[in-house]
Amino acid sequence: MLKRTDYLTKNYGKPDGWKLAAYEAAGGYRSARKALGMSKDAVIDEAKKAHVRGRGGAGFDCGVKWSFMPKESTKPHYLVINADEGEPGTFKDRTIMEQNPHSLIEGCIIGCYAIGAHACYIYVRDELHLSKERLWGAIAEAKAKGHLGARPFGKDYAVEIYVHTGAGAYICGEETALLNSLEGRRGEPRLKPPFPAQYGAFGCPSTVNNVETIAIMPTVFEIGGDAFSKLSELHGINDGGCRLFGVSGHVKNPGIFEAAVGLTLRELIFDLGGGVLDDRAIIGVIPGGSSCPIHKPDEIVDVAGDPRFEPYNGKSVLDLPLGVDTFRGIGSMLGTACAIVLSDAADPVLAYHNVMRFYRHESCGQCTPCREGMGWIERILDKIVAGTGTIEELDQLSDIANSVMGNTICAFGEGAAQPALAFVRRYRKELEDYVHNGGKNQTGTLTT
Amino acid sequence: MPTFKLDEREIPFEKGETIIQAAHRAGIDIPHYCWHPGLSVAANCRMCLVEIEPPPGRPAMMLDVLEWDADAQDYVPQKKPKLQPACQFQAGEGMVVHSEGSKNVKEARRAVQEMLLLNHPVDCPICDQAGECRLQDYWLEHQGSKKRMKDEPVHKPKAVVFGPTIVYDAERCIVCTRCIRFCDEVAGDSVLDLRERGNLNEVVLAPGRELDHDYTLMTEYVCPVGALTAVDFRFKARVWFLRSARTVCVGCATGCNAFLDFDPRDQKVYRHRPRENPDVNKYWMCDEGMLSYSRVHENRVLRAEIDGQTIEFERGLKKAAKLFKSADPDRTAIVLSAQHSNEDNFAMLVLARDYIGSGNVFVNGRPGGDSDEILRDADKNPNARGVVGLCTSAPPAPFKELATALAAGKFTHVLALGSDASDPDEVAAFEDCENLVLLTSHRGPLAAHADALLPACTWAEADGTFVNRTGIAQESERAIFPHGDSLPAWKLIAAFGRALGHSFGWTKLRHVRAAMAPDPGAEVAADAEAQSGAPA
Amino acid sequence: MAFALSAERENELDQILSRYPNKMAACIPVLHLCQDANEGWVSADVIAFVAGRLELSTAQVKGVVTFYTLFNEEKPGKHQVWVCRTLSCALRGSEDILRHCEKKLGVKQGETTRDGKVTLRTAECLASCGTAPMMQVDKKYYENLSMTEVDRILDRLLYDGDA
Repeated sequence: MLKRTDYLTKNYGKPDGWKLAAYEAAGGYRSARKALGMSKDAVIDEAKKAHVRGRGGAGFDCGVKWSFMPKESTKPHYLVINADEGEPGTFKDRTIMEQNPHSLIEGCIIGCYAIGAHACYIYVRDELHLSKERLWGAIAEAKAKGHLGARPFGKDYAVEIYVHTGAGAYICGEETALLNSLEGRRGEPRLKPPFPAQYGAFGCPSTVNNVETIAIMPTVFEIGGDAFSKLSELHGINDGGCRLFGVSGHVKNPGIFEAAVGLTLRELIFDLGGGVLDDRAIIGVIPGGSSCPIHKPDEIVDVAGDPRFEPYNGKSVLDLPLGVDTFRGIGSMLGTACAIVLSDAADPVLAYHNVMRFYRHESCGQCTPCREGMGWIERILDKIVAGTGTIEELDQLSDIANSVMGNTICAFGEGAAQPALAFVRRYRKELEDYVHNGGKNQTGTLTT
Repeated sequence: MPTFKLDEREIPFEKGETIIQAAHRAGIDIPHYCWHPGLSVAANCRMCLVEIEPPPGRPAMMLDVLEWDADAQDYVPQKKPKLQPACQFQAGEGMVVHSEGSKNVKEARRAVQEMLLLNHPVDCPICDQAGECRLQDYWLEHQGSKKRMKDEPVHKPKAVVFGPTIVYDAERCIVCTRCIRFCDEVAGDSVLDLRERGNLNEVVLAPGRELDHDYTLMTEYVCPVGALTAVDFRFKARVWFLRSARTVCVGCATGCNAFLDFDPRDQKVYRHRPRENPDVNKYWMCDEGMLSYSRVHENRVLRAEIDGQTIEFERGLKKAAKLFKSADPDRTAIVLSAQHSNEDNFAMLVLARDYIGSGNVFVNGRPGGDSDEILRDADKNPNARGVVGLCTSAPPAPFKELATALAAGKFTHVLALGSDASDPDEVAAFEDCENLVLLTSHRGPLAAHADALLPACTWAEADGTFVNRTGIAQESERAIFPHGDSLPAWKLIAAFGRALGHSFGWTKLRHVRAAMAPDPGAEVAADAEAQSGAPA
Repeated sequence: MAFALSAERENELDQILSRYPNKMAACIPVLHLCQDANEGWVSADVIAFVAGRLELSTAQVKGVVTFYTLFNEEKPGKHQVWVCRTLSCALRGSEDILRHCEKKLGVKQGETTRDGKVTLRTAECLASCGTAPMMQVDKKYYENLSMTEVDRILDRLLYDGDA
């Protein structure tokens, strides 16, 4: 159900809306002041009540993640913010950093306190120069005001926040690759265990949170964890609050929209996104970044034996609330809740090729299945798109993706195998048309 | 000891051990490329994936995959369990692990194997790794089918000179990072890293550097495929014609356990490589040691010589003995060699004390050299400690004292094992030695001053025991037959004794060993059989 | 000549170092700093400089430089134009934008104009999907591009020398 909110976005687009004055005028920094007056356990409990499922794509409960940090430790703790936004189709964190950076800074203060960290690194991908500038600006403003530094709000709990920059590598959005990159290494994912809560940044206990996950924390403490969670239609299945939804591709009004969890793809595309470009028919929707499987609009929800799905069984996938567990339940993934829409003007085979080229380009190459599998898939698609592919090669696509799935060091393998399988499963006919007829029955373009 | 089940077999493990470590110790090889028992875990090749049953009552983690049903002309959704790398996953009490017994594991390994060969040139005939390449072994064991990708493979740099000893072929490289980890973690010199990413990955040399530390051949040796090859061994031999003797490196006092690879057809030695021994060299050897095999064929004394003239062996032996017939035992010096085995030196001592009657015992060897904290010892002799241990009544005097004594005219006769000079500056003192007889394998610095040279075997041509710097007595096995007229030094000494007219009865090594027992100088008996011979 | 930083940039380097518990962590920010000071690329001298200052092996620095797409191992043009080619942009016409740029600049993607003014590249998703198609010119995003807008931007680069 569409229920718009404006906790994060109320100052978006306003003149100087990213500055401290605007943020404080809207009640900013009260939450951090409040949290620093609570016990750490109380802060974590409050966060748990909010059921903020990680907004970076994995959907792990933020409060629970915080609780994994050791209580007693001889080493320093670190909070690391994943601002390496790079999942194709995803552009929500950038809006926060550019238009509401203080929400992130305030969230970092709360997060540091909760996990016992005195230092926080915000890992921003290098290309987001405006984001970095605004974040450094916000840090300077907050420090000047005494909200940040040795004694935030006069409390005896020092917090320093630094902006760190990447240098162009999608894989650094994977949390352990990000930690390696933060440490000045090649952005290759680490083996887990040990997990970051035991052995994270600089070998110390660390929590890695997505920008939006942390930026919403001031709201959680403003209105209370439980009240926040209840904003969501999926509060009952521990998927709380509101979040930023995005829509791009073939819609009339692409953009980022804040709404309560419970929003459906149909609402996102038609009510917020203004409908399909040129009022064409939809041939596919990727729910939340290109690592998620693509869905056709005529797919029907059918999850047997799970009472959570009773209200949705029999409905179109477009009418299933966009939640972490609702989409996991249908064998899909919510990801970053930034959808990509393909109208019937788009050639799904070219879209497939585009997506798999991305994963070949971004594979770190550390482990065999991903390194070789991505290159192989891209080659086959190169040939299919050029009209020189064979049915044998088309058959190999699922085989290769199956071999990548689950067999890699990090989740990139799944993130690449999922679209590889989803496209071939849903657009086999179109792929065969390329093999047999050079794709002459397809549009041959991605653009309307 | 707790155990887990691997393909129906109970495997004991120590807490903290990974599945592959425990299996390795139990003699079960879980296929792997990147894992090496002496290096950190990289888990990047994914060849060792195994299926681990979830704990009772817990569901297995399943993944969604697709199968193409050609009859129905549609994809059928399937589930497969999440596999785990055995090199990374710690063994747990009662854990049930399927390796060879799981079809999921078989399929995963087949896929990894196919992918590793996807862009590989498959140039086995001209590859030096042929015959000992894991890609070859595992293709047969785990793939056994043709490569399905018919297109031109990705091309990368070939025959890249990494340094004076090593050549790199990026197309053959499977990016397992063993070489990088070896340089970082063992050699302590981060001279290699990866460049690029994805399927453009390759190993790269530090700009401005060469691969030139003291363990470059080891860096090559940890490569499980033909990506790194040693200049020294390139295009010299086919490994399947070679046989391996279990030897001890004679390059220094560390006494690294080694394999000496030789061709039985031409009786030549081609290569020296490490043999695992956790108490001595773990899995490693240094360049100096690995190249020391060439001494077997270089600068040898293979015939008897009298006054610089080659002579038939028996005649040479007689002439040499004649020089000692009237020697005054008090003016006779006997020189042991830290280059030679306990057996050789023991024979020398017996000859000196029981037959010649001289107590003037000295010890010689190769001069000292560089050392490090890894393996290399400054003492470049394999058996200094053994020689000292043999001299139970009084320690042997150093070479320098012999030179001083010679210069003072104290000795008229010197019988020496070897022709080295542990102090090269003192060689001139031997110029005026009236009767110098050397029983020697090589033409060392003393040879020029010898009145008689009798040919002895190198360590490669004889069995022998060497006591290393920590007091471990280790047996070294004969590789090739004695070259030329050379004899194992103990045998040569016995023959010399007989030529002097003594009843020196030893004809078999066991005769010497029986006379020696118990092992002098040895604190720990070497148990060569217990040490695994399989390379990691 | 060996690479060195100006006093001002040295100062910046010290500031970067002060943010981290060890020197290695400064590797990427310091490489950016040096690349900016070295006409936009990381030469062998820069690698040696960074390795020396951060007490790293040159192999490690080389590994880092080649892993990330934004470090150039060759000198780029005065300006760098990245056209995003990933799905959301492709659905909104990025292929046409790229072709247009190639034609106008007379180079293929990955190449630099003969006068050394502009290097044309493609980029993977730059988190600007809602404002597709888009391109990045040096440090600035240009979004919701039309061909006229692309022409204006490229003309400025080619003739005014400024973005």
